[in-house]
Amino acid sequence: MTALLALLRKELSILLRSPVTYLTLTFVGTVTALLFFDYLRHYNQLLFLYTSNSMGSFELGTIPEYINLSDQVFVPLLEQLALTFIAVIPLVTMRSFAEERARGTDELLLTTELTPEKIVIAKFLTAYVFVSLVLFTSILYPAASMLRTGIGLQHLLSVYLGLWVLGIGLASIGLACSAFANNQLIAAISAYAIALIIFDLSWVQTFASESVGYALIAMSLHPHFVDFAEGLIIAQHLAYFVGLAAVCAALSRLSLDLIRVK
Amino acid sequence: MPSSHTFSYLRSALLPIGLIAIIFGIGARYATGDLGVFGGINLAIGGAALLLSFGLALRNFHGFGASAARAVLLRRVGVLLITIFCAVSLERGMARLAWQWDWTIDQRFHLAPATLKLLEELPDYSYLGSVQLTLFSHPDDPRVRTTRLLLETLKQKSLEEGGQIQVRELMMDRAAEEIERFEVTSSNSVGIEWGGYQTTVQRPNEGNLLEAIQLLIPRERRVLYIAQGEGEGTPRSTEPSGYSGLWGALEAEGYELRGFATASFAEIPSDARAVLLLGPRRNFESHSLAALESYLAQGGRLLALLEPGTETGLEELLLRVAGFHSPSDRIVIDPLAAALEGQPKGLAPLINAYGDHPITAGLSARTMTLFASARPVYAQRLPVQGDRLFPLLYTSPNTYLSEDLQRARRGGLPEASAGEPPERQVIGAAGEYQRNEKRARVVVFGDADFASNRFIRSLYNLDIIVNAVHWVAEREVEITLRPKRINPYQEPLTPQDSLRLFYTVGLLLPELLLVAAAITWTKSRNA
Repeated sequence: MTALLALLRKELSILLRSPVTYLTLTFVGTVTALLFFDYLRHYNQLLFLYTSNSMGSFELGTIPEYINLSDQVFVPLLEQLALTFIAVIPLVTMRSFAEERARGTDELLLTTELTPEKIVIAKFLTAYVFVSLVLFTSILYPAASMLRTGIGLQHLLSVYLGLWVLGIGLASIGLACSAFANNQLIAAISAYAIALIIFDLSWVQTFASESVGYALIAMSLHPHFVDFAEGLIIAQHLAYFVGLAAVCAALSRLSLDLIRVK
Repeated sequence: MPSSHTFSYLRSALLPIGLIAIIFGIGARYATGDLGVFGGINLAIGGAALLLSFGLALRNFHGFGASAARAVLLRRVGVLLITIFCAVSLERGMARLAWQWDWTIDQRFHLAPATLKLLEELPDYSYLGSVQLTLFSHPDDPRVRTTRLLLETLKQKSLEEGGQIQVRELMMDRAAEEIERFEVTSSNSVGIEWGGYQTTVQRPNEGNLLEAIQLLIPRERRVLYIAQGEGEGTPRSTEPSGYSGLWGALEAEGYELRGFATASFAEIPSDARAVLLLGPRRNFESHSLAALESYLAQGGRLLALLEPGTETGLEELLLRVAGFHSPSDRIVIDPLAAALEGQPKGLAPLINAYGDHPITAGLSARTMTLFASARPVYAQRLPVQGDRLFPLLYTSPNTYLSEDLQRARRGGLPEASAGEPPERQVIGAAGEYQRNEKRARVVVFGDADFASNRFIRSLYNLDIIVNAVHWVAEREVEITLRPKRINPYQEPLTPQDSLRLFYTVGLLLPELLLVAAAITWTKSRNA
């Protein structure tokens, strides 16, 4: 346990001392702010149009229900943030195993009293801390606005729980790719490719049979993430992300044995 | 013959090329919503490059070495397969259990007691087959997500009761025949089909779906008569002051509503299950009052909504026959009540204290009802020994009574009448009377506006009025609480607010993070 904690501390220290971490967080914070501001401007314009004479002077309260802060600002923002996560998270997870391998420190690590399981756990937990930091920088702006407008704290938490589990899933994929890749570049682009492929497989339904289409949707990230944005926590979706993380951890563990065997 | 070095180089180059082609192929699909030629070619090139790279890797593969190494790897692969099996089982198991938690502010996926009651009743009509709900959707319509989840919630709950609800989803551009059959005009509509009948709900939410299914239930319609001609609210008017909302809700609950002019009736029709008086404003003719009295004496059922400041002649009848005293010259003032549009503060009592009675079943301090302005209704006397009177609605303890109705009409807050201390007032009451071996029932509310279109969907107003009708008509079994929906937030954030947030949280935080990055970078360079 002490060895695991020491490794975890070391990994976190590397994470927090890396300028890349702060640059990534800055990028996410800025993108969130710009997107949010843009959606908000669009929403205000829509409201203005509906309440102006040109649209028949709707009274507030008779405007179509779907023109509301949640549907026009919050949900699309989260969809965009999910794609931003795909762009950002592999950049940090790519170095996790691949960098150790490139420097040759992975073999050193395997000779310590740390078991391969502990190494995998420490790497995964560090990545999850990073995901939480990314989430923190992206939550402040929407939270500050939304809590003023009555969307409800629980709904906000549900939305961010969805983003968090999506981040956990993407980080797990990134780590598994890093564990198998020989260099960071391959780790990053293979993580991008896998994340994009499984993000939403519903389009394959057009070509595949119904049962295959159903199975592909069940494997996709997006259908398991989007219900959180509606304020609904579904145990099945949580189980999906837990399972995804476990499978990626098992794959990473397998990669360590492959290296040893080689 | 290329050297092994060339093969190794090719393999290393093909892997990123294949992955990049796939990223751009899929990325193009997400960006445009269609795979297109660019996406298709990229996916084909990417797939081919990856296959080739994999083939070259296999060519260089020389086995896993010693048997001990193979055993280690086999064990690890076994663990991986078990993990995959457990992950899939966990996900499937949870899908079957369908556990979910509704964290929306209006609990929109938490089915109301009325909906659960309907799902319980559906198996009684199993001879009509399943209720088929068809969601017509368009991929770009964000509203569909909420409706899809609501239908799935309905389906899951119905499974617990025998699975009488079937759900399917049709894309708008691929279901021309069904769109025509259900007369669907836009995405996010739900077609309901049951027992040979069909209907379409254009703006589906739990309440609308519930009412639409209820209307398809084949049951005996009980007749309600709504009095007209003495200045009552117009029952079918869709104006804010009309009662079309109440009319529709009562029809959905299985009633047939008929209007009747009190002045032309010498007696109440014999098929009346109950008579409704929706805020009469003029004096009733003496023969109308006699007809009502005779009707009640024979076990009739009356629901009267009385407006403050209107003397109709009913007051004397209600006191004599039903034991209720509702002075028309008094108005209830709650100094803490918020101001409604066009009214001063204090005239619209918010009720959160209820008497113990079937009409108020399920209502509590957290389920409030809103009245626009109200007069008191006292349970004054028992007309006959054995009669029973029940106070239903209590105002807050700060409430007082005022006779200054003129001031209220001018927009001012009336002062308390002399000798009227602040205390809880009763503004709704019910009574039950044994007459000629029949059971007469009367419910009186000291306000009529609370059931008008303007207020009926506010808080639990619909429940209190419909439950009162059910009780009066002796259909207690139908008393329940109906779905609620909080209106979505539709106010603009002011530019000042938006800019303040943008500068503080939106820009300041990234700036601080960038400073942190610079400091970290400088530190690592100097280390």
